[in-house]
Amino acid sequence: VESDLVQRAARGDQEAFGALAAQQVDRCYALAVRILRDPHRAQDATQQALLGAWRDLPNLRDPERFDAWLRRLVVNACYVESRGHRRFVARLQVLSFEPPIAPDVARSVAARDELERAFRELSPEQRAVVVLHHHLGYPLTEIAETLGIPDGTARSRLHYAVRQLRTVLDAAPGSVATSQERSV
Amino acid sequence: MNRLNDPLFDSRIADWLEDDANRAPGHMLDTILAAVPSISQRRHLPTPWRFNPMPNSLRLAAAAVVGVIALGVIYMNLPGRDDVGGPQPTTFTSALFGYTVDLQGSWTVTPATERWPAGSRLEPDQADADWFRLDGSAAAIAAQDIPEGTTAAGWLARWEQIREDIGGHCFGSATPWTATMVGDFEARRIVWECDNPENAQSNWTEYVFPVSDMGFVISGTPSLVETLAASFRTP
Repeated sequence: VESDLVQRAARGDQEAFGALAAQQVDRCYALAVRILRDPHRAQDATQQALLGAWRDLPNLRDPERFDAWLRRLVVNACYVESRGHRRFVARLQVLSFEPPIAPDVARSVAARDELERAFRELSPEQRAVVVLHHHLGYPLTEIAETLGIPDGTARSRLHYAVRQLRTVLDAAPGSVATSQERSV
Repeated sequence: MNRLNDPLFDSRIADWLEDDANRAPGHMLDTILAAVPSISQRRHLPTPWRFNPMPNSLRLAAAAVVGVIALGVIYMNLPGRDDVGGPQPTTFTSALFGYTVDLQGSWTVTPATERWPAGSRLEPDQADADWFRLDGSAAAIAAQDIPEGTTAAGWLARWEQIREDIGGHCFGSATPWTATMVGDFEARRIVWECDNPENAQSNWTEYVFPVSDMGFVISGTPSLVETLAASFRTP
């Protein structure tokens, strides 16, 4: 992101902010949808984050930190979205009317469903660290800096998230964790 | 191999995450940009917490305290008083927690109406803390009993542990915990970095310190907290 655009947007230049938002909207949405697992809430979180960025840009002290700052706004918006909806989340079981499929494909689909289910059991804070680390590839120190949490907290969130994922997946029939992995 | 450091498992998570959408729906950007002109930019640092509307009972209590403070200020400025210099601070003595702090005339105070349960967190606007406000900023002082059998150091360590996952609108520490003093009492101090969709950047400061069998916390907007901590005293 060009810091010139950030500075102009911070001074109230809507055109500059439009260019910034166009650069960032896909990235913000991709992060939000992975954390929230829901396209509609991801849209809401992305909008909240980008509009929050517009509103608060004058308070951003270092334009070079815009990317990390916006990432944090997205994660925070995901927390808000997640907490706002938590009590209304229903556990729905989808009935499948799909025609029979090959066993390998079925196993793969089942494994992904298990992963999805296990991931949804994680807290939003844990999901954020998993996505930032395993999808975006950020090291834990950078995640800690981005989220404004101590390194140890980022490490423990990832540790417990992965442990929880493995526990759920190990317990599932047709587990995604293969027998070869279990013996390691 | 450590099961939690399993490249196969890690790559499976990464592959699974990779399948999610990478592009925002086309209309999103238009929606966002259409909303921008109606949103004013903020050029100040707001308070770190979102304040909920006060219950009526607290409003009454706050109004009563404001009235008392106002009378105090008027009294202090009556003709004939031989004050010199600027406005004199009034004092606030907490009925529930027993400490005293100095206040400037324009501060408002909402005294606690309930005891602060041991082991619980300090949450915005809760009724078990004394709340101090000035120009949209806020700070709280509260104290809880240190459980029997728990040392002062143990209580402090427990508090730091509770605060590790600070949550709410604050997402981590801007400084480590450091040893300091509040009045005559050994204390620990930290600055939290707060950031939420409503606030771009706003820190707040927190002191924790045991006083005999009570564990005190002063937390809130840094300038208010420092002022309160500087005049904190117990009988």
